[in-house]
Amino acid sequence: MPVTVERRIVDNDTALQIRAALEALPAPEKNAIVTAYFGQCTYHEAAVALGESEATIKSRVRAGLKRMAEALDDSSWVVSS
Amino acid sequence: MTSAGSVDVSGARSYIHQAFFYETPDELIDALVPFVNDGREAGENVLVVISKEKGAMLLERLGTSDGFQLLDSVDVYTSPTKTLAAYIATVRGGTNDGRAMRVAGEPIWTGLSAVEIAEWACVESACNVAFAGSRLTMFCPYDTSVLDPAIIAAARQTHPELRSVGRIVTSDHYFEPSQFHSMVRATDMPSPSTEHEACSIVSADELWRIQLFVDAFSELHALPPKLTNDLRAGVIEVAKTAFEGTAGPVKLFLWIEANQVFSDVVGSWQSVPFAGYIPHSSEEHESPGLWSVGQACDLIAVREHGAVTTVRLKFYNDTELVNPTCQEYAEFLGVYAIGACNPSETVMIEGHLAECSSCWDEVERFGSVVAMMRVARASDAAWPTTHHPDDDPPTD
Repeated sequence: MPVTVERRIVDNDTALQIRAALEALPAPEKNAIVTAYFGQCTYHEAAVALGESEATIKSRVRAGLKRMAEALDDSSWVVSS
Repeated sequence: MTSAGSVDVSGARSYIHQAFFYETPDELIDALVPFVNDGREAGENVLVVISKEKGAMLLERLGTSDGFQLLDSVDVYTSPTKTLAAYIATVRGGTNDGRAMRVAGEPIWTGLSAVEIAEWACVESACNVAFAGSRLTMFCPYDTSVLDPAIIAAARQTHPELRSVGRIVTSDHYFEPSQFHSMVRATDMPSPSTEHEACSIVSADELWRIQLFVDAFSELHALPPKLTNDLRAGVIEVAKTAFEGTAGPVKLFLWIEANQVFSDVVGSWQSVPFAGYIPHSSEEHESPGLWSVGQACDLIAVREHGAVTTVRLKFYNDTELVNPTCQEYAEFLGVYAIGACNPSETVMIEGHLAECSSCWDEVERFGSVVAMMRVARASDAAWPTTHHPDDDPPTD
């Protein structure tokens, strides 16, 4: 499917928003999300990669997502899909 | 008819199954002493299975333990299907040299649920099928001073002969085993615990989902490997049997109560008679599987209401188990939302989400964040698809 210029701009904008939201997280939460989601592995694998317990990764991902959801609520940004 | 105090095993009848109603331990010992002595004198294999205390009384009265085998009920009456299998093997071994055998056995009726009591009664009834034609005398003591009247009533329905001190009569209440089992199957099955996990599959092609579901359940409850294997194999075997008789769907419920793990497989199929109790070798019975399930679990109970059949399995665990709390599930919600759980965890969490609105709300809230992250991950412009945490710039 061809990617329109407009779509690309929106996607880039989304990526920048997310990047900003991730950068605003405490480093441990950001690392957990980046490793598991952007590294495309299970949280078990992320725990090994980061040298943390699985429980720690679970709680950091959850806390990070909560924080990001709040930040994105505040910016009243709406996902365009 | 014979006189009280001895059992006729010399006549034409090959198989005798007798309930003996007594009120005091002395009455039981008074009956058991000639039972053992007559058997020994006739050169029969003699087995007595009673409580340790009653066993001691019997030995004291007999003055010897020669010529018969005495076992503790605790060691023999472990589970209805396992115990019947053990008796079948014992009687086969005890009569294959042409000798007759006599067995006196008293189950432990205390601490049982209504379903378990019914299943132990099914054992008594199934004996009449398993041992038909055997040169076997079964003598089953019932202590009427302590037992629930329902247990005594069932004994009248499962034993062709009834005996009390001084008399032996043919039971007027006796039911053919297939009739008795049908009656038990029509009785109520208590609902699964409210804290159950459930999954539904629509065809036999989806049996793998049951496997994932059981594995996730076992993981969450930290079940030991053997119990997990038995539970998985048992549930899959029952589900397979169900799909032999139904187009689906088949529902599976799993739950724990104290140190017991339960499973219910529910669907619209007809189970074979004596499923789990009698090994079916003939072609008319499709399921040798339920026999093997009955040997791996601590209870198998089949109940049929209308077109719906429920097969319940129970497994004992050595230690007490605890249901995961909502909070324990909630710990998974973040990694679930970003798709970082393994498949079995995913199945289990989705089971919880179907029933828990607060966890569902949280996952939905994460959903909008993850939708944006998905765009970012796919975007080659603003975010690398792989990212090592060590490369991260320090945050404020």
